[in-house]
Amino acid sequence: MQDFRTETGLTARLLGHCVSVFMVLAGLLMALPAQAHKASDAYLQLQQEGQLLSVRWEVALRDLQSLLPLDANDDGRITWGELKARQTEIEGYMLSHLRVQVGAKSLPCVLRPAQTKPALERRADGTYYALRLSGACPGRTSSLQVSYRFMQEVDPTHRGLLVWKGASDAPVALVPDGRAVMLVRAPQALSMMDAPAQSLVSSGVHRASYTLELPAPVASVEPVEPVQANAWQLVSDGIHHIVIGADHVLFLICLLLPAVLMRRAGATGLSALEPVPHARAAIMPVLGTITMFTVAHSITLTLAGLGWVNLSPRIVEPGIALTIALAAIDNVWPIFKGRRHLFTFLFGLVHGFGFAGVLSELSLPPSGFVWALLQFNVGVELGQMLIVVPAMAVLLPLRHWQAYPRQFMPAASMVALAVAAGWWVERVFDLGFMPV
Amino acid sequence: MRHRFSSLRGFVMAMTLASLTLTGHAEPWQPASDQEVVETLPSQTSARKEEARWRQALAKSPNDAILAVATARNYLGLARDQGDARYAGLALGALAAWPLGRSAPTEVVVMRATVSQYLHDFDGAASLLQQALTLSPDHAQAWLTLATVRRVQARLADSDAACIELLRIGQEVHGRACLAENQSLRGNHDQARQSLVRLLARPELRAASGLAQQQWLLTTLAELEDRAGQGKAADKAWQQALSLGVHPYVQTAFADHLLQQGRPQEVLALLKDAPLTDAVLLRLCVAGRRLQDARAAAWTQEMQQRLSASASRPESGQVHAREQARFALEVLQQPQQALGLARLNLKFQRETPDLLVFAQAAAAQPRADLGQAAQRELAQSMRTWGMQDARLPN
Repeated sequence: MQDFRTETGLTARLLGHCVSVFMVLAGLLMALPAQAHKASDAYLQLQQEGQLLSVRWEVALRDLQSLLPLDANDDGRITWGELKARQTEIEGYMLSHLRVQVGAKSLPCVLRPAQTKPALERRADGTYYALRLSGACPGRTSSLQVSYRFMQEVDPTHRGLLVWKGASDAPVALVPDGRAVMLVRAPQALSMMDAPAQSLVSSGVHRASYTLELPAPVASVEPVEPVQANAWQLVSDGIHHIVIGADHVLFLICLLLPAVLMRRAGATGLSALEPVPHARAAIMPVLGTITMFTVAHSITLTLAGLGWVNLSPRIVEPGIALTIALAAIDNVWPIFKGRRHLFTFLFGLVHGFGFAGVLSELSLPPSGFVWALLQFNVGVELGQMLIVVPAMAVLLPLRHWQAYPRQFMPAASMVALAVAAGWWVERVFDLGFMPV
Repeated sequence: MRHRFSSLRGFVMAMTLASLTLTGHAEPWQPASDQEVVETLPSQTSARKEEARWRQALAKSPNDAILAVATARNYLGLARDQGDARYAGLALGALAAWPLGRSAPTEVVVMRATVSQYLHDFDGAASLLQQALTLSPDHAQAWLTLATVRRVQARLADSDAACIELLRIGQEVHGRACLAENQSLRGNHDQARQSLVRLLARPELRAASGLAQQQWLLTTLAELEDRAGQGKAADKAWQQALSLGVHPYVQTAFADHLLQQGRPQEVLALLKDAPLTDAVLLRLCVAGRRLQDARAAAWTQEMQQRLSASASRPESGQVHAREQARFALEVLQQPQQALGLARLNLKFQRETPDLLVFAQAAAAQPRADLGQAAQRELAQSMRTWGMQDARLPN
């Protein structure tokens, strides 16, 4: 409150020419309710599950207004329409002013917006723009390096209050100076420490001072609803998951390998296998098999997605490895005795739980969840077609190769069996020796 | 196959419907109409346009020190008028072309110090001012601000030294008023009063251009009379100061005087049209509670929201501890918490209101022995700092 003393009088005399019209006019506005009094803060919430990082970042519209003119018609009011018109610039600015890296090698996490329409939040000091980002961080890590530059150009007192979910609820205040702040996930709490020197670029690591001794009231963060995710993005997440999910791909290949072959009536063993006479004879059973798989994993994906049935990944993940192994064995020694459709269905149920695990990492909105689930599933199916169609295009001509039924198909199946066995051991004993 | 697919779809559809009826979750706010207003910007169109002009001019020539300092001063003025710390941040932002720790024009350094002082970074402000004064030892504003910062820190001898520098460079009125205020803080009220009254009689202060200085001197005098325990004389000085124009500091300081005199009704009238800065809201909460005014609950809730919204910032203790302590003591009636906050606050600022809230929190302690210990602690500190106040134990 001592401010009055320092400036009055002397200011007027020494630097009077600087007193501007806008200051004088503002002085006349005493009766207007001024809604914002606190300093500029943004709120960041990080959530990391495996390699997937989701960020929820809320910035005040007033702060954005200092960076980009949002109020297009300059009437002192920002409308929803004016805000939406600036969405690309807003999100472009935000994305270019936050960098998250992981591990000692400082590998960047590639973050992209996970929403089509902007969403808003109400806070004590005004309206906030809520941006949801998600992306993959390479490697498993319990440390993140965050470089923050939001508002750097206009307000050095701005702070990004970051909470790493599951690590700590107490926010870390990020200074918008672009220096890397190292966040370490401790078993119980988030602690901050300087990064090892060799992992740093020239910027150095900033130790955020964090000494709040106050018996401060708990911050009143409004409950945050996740926003509607971009439709295409969920589809692409689904595709992405099946295409990069080596176990699902391998399972599909195992199903397809014998599909271009048929068994001579009455004969057993590998010698009874011969190529199907025409492509249609292979395609129809493949469609049947894939459909059984699809229906089955859609069921469990839905049940798990809605939270009605839950299976621990400790069961699901080795289970998926087991399905591959069994399918591979059946290719050589028909243990399913021709009831391949039924077993494909049962295996599909297991894989569905695997997809559900990915889905939960995407943290979909509770409302509109089923719609989101459906989109994700469409993506899984599309991804599946991306594997099945080229695989069939290769296998169909290959079936006439003499070595295919008795040497290649069994050998490929045994390779699949070996890989599946490796995964099974890895997943049951929680090891990390497999390359994928 | 087709059949199976459509049955799956039917199944999912059914579940969609079920989930829609079951989960009526509130969406994040997404207005239905493009015309819906999502945020109202503070200040009027003309003021905003002026602000935009400054901003654009500065964007064009960011290294223009005169322009940058003027822009920063404008922002700081807005921060003070509206009690809005965001503007103080923007004021620092306007000086971004001269990063901390690099050489900068004196005016830029002094401006940065002034903003730092507003943000309660007193050590930072003092070191910047000393840096500016080594280069420009005749910079009046820098000496005056330094005197104030040292006074806030209860370093009265250092403050005196800065006041004397003001006299040396011919700033007669400011130098004498500066010394008088320090005298009054030491308890030499009579001498300080004489000095202030003499200054107020000077002809240049009676002119229109002297109004701001006159108001400042009257406020200093009013605070002196309060410290001296002269309620009536203080009242007269406050009324005179207020008659010279609306000033946010004068208003809230006078409100505190009224609260001390047991006149909360007048506080509500005084602050009726004032912008709801944190300082104004706090006084409304205190007065409203004492009067059991119908609006008190809403004010209290608003104040609580603001304090908790600010609390997640690490610096918040430094900036808000005085207000938090008063709020805890006078509104929430939590004397123990208030004492802790008042003690924390005294680490940063040691002005009269900071001493008062500590003393009041000490007196309100439910355990008399702890209250007395706190009072002894305050008296000891005040002896160390060489300060006296008729309203406080010594």
